[in-house]
Amino acid sequence: MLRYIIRRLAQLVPTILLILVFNFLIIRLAPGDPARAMAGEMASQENVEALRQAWGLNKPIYEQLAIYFSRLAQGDLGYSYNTLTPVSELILDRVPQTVLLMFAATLLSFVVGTLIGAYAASRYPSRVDSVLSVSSLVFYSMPIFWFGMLLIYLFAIRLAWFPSGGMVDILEERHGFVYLLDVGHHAILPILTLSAFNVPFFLLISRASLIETLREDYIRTARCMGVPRNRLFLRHALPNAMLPTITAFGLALGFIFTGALMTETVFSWPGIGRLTWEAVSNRDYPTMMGVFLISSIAIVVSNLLTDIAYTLFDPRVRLG
Amino acid sequence: MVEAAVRVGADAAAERRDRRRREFRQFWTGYRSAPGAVVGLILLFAAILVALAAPVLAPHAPTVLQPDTLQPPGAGFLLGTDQVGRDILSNLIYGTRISLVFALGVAGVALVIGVALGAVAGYFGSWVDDLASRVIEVFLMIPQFVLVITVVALFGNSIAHTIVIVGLTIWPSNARIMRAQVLTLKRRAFVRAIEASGAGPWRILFRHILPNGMQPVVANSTLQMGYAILFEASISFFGLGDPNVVSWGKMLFLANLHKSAWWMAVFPGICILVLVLAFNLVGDGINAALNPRLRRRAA
Repeated sequence: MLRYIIRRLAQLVPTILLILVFNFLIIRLAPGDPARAMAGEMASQENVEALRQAWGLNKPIYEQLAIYFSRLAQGDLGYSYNTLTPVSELILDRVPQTVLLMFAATLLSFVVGTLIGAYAASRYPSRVDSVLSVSSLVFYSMPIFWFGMLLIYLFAIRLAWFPSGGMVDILEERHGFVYLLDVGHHAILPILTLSAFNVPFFLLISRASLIETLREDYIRTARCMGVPRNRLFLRHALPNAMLPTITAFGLALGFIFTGALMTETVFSWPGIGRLTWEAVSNRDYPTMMGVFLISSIAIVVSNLLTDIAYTLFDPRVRLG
Repeated sequence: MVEAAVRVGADAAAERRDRRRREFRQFWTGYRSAPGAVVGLILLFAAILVALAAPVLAPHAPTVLQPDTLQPPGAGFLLGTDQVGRDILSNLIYGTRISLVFALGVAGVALVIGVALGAVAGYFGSWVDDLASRVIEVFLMIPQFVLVITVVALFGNSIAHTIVIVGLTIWPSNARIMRAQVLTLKRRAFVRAIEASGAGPWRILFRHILPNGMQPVVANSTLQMGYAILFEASISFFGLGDPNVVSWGKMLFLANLHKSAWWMAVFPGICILVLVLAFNLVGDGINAALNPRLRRRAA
């Protein structure tokens, strides 16, 4: 097992290197002066020159790459010229809010989606199943932020049941349990919005996987041996069919930083997504590149963890 | 003699026609078995008709500013007007053109790159395949939307730019499918026969293998067209839409600035939803027709 993990980690190295080089190249290939792009439109000539010196932007490209790597190794992602703070600090500040929102939404969607998907598969083929899969396709086809806008209009503006944005009530300072309740109150609409996209995702995967499993020979054998229908479904088919949904859950967690981009923007949720939106509106390239980098790495790492989890859940996977 | 030859030729042609008809019927049976696939096709044709007939259908010129701003839906303006007095319905009708062009453009770029790279990787193998597979793997893992908005912000946001950038981001799924297709096709007897006849590798790959492996890529491209429309909406919503184009996504961006004018948000969203759904249903239908394991549906 340990050898497998080490081997997988070694495989990650070229992938991560490629992502870093890619990140490095984008801003340097863009039209215009990269030093100017990193310093901002409003920056003084001295500031631009200082950045050019610091990042070696007048040196050959391979030296620039070396400087880039050595700065990255020190956790230096550059400065945001919007807030004049290090990008790494800006990002770290926003991580907890995004993780909270995304983890709650993904977990909820995983449970609900997988259960409904299993139900749909148990009724396959039938009208109920068709209605469920077509309506998940409908949710899957809509712009997620649009659904959020509709929720805001209905539940925040019209009915005033929930706040229309933010994470806490800024008019009143709260502490302890009351504070948590307030955050929860603010999180309900964003979580609903994220679930509108994620529930169908898990639903379709668990449904397809179960239908496939129910066609396997071993299920037919068990049925011929007189295993009762419910036991056949719950004991024999379900555990095997769950494997792809576990993979899907792991992959979904990889999008923990970027999955909430649109939702955080609509609901002014102070996380990475909102940070990205602010960076885009201010053309704050260092912050945008920083977000791109950490969200890529989150995906790569969660892919690795998913693979490892898979080998734990499925004894058939050989670690050769 | 000549008559007989003509007759034989006619017979062969008739036989070919029959076979094509049979294949089409088989495809259609499979296609129809996917729930909603026929509805998707009808919706798609309707959207194409609306795009073509936009000047006839639109009650007002889309860019003309009416004196009545932020009018709710009513007799004068069926779906209301926006904050500067543009007729929502007319803009939706013209927006169909943008959405379809965007979808086709993005899917086209992704198709050409994906198919070329996947085919070369699958056919030539060895280090070419190793390199291409690693690039595909990396592109499959990067957060596509963050990449797209960063590049669009840096390189400029005209609609042509945006089409190329999104296409350059979402090609890997095509490449992966095409690579797998070529890997199986290159071992088939007919390819061996052409190889024995002395044809060069590029000719074999692009004239004989590619056309036979395209079907699943086409199904994927259809799904990508829907995906592209959602991409356009999100890019515009981030304020990175082409300033010279009124697209459905741009309309949603404006709607978010005028939250109480519900008609500015509801109708463009429905248009996006319907068109994306149409592409998804058609894509699922094509997949069902190609994949016999999915074909045995009763519903």
